[in-house]
Amino acid sequence: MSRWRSARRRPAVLASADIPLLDVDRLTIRTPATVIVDDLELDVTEGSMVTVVGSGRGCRTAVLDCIGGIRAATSGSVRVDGHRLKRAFMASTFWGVLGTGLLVGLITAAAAVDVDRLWLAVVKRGMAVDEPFTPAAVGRRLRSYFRAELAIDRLAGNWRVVTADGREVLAVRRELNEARELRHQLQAAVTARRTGPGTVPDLSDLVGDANEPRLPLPLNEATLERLAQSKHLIRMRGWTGFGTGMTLGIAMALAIWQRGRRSPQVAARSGVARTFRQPRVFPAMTVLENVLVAVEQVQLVSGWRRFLPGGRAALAAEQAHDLLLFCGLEQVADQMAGSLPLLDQRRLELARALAIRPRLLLMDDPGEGIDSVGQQLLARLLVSVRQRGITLVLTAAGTGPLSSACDRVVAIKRESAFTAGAGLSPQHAE
Amino acid sequence: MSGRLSDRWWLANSWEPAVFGLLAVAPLIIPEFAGGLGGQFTTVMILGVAALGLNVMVGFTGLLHLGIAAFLGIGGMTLAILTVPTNPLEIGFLPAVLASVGVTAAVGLFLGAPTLRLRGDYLAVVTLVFGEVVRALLCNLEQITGGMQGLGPVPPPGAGVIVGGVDLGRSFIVDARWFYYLALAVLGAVVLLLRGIERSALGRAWIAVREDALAAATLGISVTRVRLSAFAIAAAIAGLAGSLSVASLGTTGDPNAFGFNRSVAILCAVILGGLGSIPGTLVGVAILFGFDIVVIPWADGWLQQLQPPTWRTEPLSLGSWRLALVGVALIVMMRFRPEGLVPSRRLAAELHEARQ
Repeated sequence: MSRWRSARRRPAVLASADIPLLDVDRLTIRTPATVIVDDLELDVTEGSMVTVVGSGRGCRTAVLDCIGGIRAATSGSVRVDGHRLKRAFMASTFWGVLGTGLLVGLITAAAAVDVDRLWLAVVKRGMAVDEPFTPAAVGRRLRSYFRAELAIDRLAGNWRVVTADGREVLAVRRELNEARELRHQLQAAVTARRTGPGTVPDLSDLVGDANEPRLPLPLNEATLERLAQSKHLIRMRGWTGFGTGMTLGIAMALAIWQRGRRSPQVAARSGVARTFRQPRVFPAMTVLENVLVAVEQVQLVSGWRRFLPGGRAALAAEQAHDLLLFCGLEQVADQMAGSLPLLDQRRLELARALAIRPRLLLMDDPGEGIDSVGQQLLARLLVSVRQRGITLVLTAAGTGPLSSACDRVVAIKRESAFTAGAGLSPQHAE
Repeated sequence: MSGRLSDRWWLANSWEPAVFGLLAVAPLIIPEFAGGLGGQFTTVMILGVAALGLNVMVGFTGLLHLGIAAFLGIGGMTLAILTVPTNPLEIGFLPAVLASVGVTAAVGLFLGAPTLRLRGDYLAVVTLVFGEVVRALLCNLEQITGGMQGLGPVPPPGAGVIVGGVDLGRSFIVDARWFYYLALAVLGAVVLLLRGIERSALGRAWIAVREDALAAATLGISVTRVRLSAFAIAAAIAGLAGSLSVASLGTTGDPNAFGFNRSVAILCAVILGGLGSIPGTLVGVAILFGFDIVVIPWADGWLQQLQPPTWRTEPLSLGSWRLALVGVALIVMMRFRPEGLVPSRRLAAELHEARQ
């Protein structure tokens, strides 16, 4: 955010003379069916006022949309002050993507290892055997779940030796000590099976003396094998879930970032403001609020301060009033913006665009649908906007009072627009 | 403009403090409030809080949300998990409520982040499915949520706190007016909070994004962040309502209560009262849920007394007709007053614009 601000606040003196403020280079915009703009070259130096004329349907809007980050160009480049208006890959992006990946990974892993059973093993089972709920105990139970160790649970006064997920009951005992002893033996048997022959002492050593009769373990070969495999299984499920989720999460976050790289918001923060052919005021907000909401974007960009009442709000209201005064809308400040006539909506859009303190102001057909008196009024207004040091790029269908107030007029060459690549005849394209 | 930037912004309607005052005084005068009536009013007020949360998304930010009840469920379940004696944590009421508000806000962000680029119908479908997924999870994660029985008993607020020789939690159980006043206070606080946000930069940004997201973006408004904040705040308020409702019932009950029907009922209340309007939302809730929860049982009791004893085996009751009545009322409403009973200034202007 600070980077954007510095770009906007950079004094004009520092901008070197040979870099134009706006540099459109070989801009081409195509839809699958038609070529809208072909090979447009446009250099606008800081502080100038330029009209772009062109008679193709939608071609002027398309050019401004490309500059303002609303639309992607098919080829060619748009640079403002030597920079492409794209969000950079910053440290915060990296951490955001990584964090999203971790979060999604953890959630899928939790689902994969059966979070319900995990909860049973970690939280509920401790309650059953009256263990304190301390971080150490939780950690031990977590580890034990992922090692698929046998556990002890209580049901209706009986102690049961169960698998880690509690789905399988291996034995039931009346006394806790008996159950503990049995669990120990069973676990030893399972561990021995897991680690393979020869890695632990023979089972008979663990169970007791050779002369003593062995405790009959409630294990057959198949169960033992299944229990031995369960540790491998739970870990595989966990890691698979985590890996899948993390990959998906990172891919999703990157895709979202990529799609948001070029956006009107990025352009606005770099000092490019925009008005529309059909004015897009916020109809259900008052005229003042329309400007206020824009003022606040510049003034209160950062963080928590926007929640503080008082001083800043008053300052914002003051600035908004100044802008309305400048555009001659102070009389209608409390009206709903949707009820204004076209000329006033245009002026409101202008006031709103000025509120974000742009360096470059793009206006799409500002004279459209307005009589010549209104156009002259707008032209005077735009000249005074220019005197504030703001560079203006207007579009128009032809010349008029507005374009005659400009330094120069650039045409979107139509004859070049239907030459290459479209595979369609000019008649069809028209 | 006058109501907006004036110093008395929190008094948008002159009748509002009167209604709140009446609600505050009524239990002192009418003894029935200590029993069932107080509980019914509490339920209505808690649903009012939830509807205010939904209004943030549907009314202010213009994102159709069909799964708000899921957040009630998540909030309530978080409170229950943290407080019931069958779980080891058993933390106090206030930290548990704060935790459930935090959890629901986080879940709201998590739902919002990937779905923000969806618009209109698509977002509605995603929220609807999310609501159903949460309901299914609450039903099926039996170890965590207690399954269909739910978790309980949830201790009342202030359990174990002795004030003047009396356990505060016991007072909450014995006298329904305690919960009534708690719900009233929360409702008032949420109303004030939303009024404050509505007239702040964030509130204006919500409206601007609702009106025209592209134009808002060209002003440098981060549409993503603005929508995310609405998601999170709506979810947090709904979570608050959910935890209150679970605490007042003493159990989470059947998770199916947090399903699609509840979401749509709350949405209907918001639309009936007036999208984007805080007093309108409250009026909608008062009419829809007040009718459902307070008036219908009362009318049924009255009807049963009127009927001859021979009918008692199959008594005539309004209860089975209530949904039909609500449906007819909504249809009539949408025909003659689409902006709601107490419309927001903005929406009224917009709809009248469209009519001209």
